[in-house]
Amino acid sequence: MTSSVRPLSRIYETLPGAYFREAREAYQRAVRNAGISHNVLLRVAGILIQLRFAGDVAQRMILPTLAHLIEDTKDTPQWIFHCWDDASTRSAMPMPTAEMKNDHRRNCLHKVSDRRYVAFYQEWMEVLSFIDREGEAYACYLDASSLPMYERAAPLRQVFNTALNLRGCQIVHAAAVGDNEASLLIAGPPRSGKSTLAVQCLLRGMRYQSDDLCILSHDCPPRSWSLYNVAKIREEGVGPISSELPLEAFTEGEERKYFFHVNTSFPDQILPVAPVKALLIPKITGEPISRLSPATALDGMRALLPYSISEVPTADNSGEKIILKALGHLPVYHLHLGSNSDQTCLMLKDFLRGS
Amino acid sequence: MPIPSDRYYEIVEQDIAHEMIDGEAIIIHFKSGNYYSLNGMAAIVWGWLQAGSTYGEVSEAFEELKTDDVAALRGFVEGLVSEGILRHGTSFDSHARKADLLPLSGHTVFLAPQFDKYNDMQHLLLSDPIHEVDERGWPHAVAGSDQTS
Repeated sequence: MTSSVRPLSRIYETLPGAYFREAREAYQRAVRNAGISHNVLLRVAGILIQLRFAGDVAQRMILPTLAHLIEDTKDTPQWIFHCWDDASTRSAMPMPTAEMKNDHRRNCLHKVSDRRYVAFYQEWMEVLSFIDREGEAYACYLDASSLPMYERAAPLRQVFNTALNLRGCQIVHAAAVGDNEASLLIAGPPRSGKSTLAVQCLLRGMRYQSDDLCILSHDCPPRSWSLYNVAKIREEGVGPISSELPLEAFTEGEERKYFFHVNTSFPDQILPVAPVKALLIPKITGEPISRLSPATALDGMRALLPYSISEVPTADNSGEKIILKALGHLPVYHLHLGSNSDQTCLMLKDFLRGS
Repeated sequence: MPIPSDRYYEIVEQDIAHEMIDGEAIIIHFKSGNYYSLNGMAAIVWGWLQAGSTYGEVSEAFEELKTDDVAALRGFVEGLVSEGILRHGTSFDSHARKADLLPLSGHTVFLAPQFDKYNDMQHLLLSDPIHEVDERGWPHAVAGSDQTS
């Protein structure tokens, strides 16, 4: 981890708007130093977002993950996100003072957040984000060239999620696959098999939204959207497919994994949005054959809600309310996950078709 | 101490998320990280209170309440107050009541309402497993907190 050389904020009163403006000034300095490298429009769950990068390092690291959302349109964006890093733009984002960090919960700096402005500080990763709920956000990395896969595979989640919450949507910790008509959310604790299953479904021709994080709305029926076009594979899952995909290795904790961008290898299989047919809770059984059995809404809530809330930095409890409301419209099933992935994927395809 | 029949209750909306799903009320309390399941009679009474019923209207909904029944009903409702899910109302607004969801007098057979309380999600809802990492960084959570991946 790079040690911080950032100056402290010069805001002595904990005024949310003042710290937000300090972020805006730091971004403008970054633009003067390094120019705007990319200025793209993204369609995220129906919201048109302009994403601007000062310098080219941050965009190189995170834009490929969002590339499937880029839209060529003359429409006016509802949001403008600005992104840069200190190192390549030589514009250091001032750090929160001790006073500002007095009420630092779930990555949110509550002392400099209010109904309009939100400030997030992901201290372990040295990421500062500032959101004006009226449609403007700033996100600053310390050194984007050394971003961990946590961020490269799911960038700006706190910024996206704050904008999404205003539209009744929440980023949830779930894999999502489907067909042309509907999606299946697959949610459970780490190592329950959801990410591997999502990639197996992708490789067997199913439509793909996520292996880890996707967007869920509380409509009736709830809808899911693809947000990050990445797929991750554990070391043991690589074998026969490694030569066919542009895999990039990374280490997560002690574990070696691989990832690839789905839209470069399977551009036609990304499912941008779909009504959710059901929530599945996987559990690896060791049996050869997979099967589904009904589960309760409470089971679904336990599988989906806590990990979603803990994975996405948040300023309030909108996420819990959105997820619970969505669960009110979702059938829930246990997915007893067998070892025969061909049979599992066929079963899910049949389930989607309603047979 | 009997509960005044004109007492009504407000849901502490800013502290909880709640949803009625297939006849089960699921409630999450943000500050404690606890969550609750209300089934059967508990869900029915919850629905009445949510619609704006007074305590008197709830108790009169039942055919005949014995002493133990009264204690069970009081324990259930005031238990939800103790958990921070309900609070005693302070400004009764008859227009805010959902008339079609209020109970009919004497039409319901009493079964003691109860709620099930769970705390197994506290570590994820209250702590910050992503932020609270050790010196190696994510995904190495500090001892005692959960790991994410």
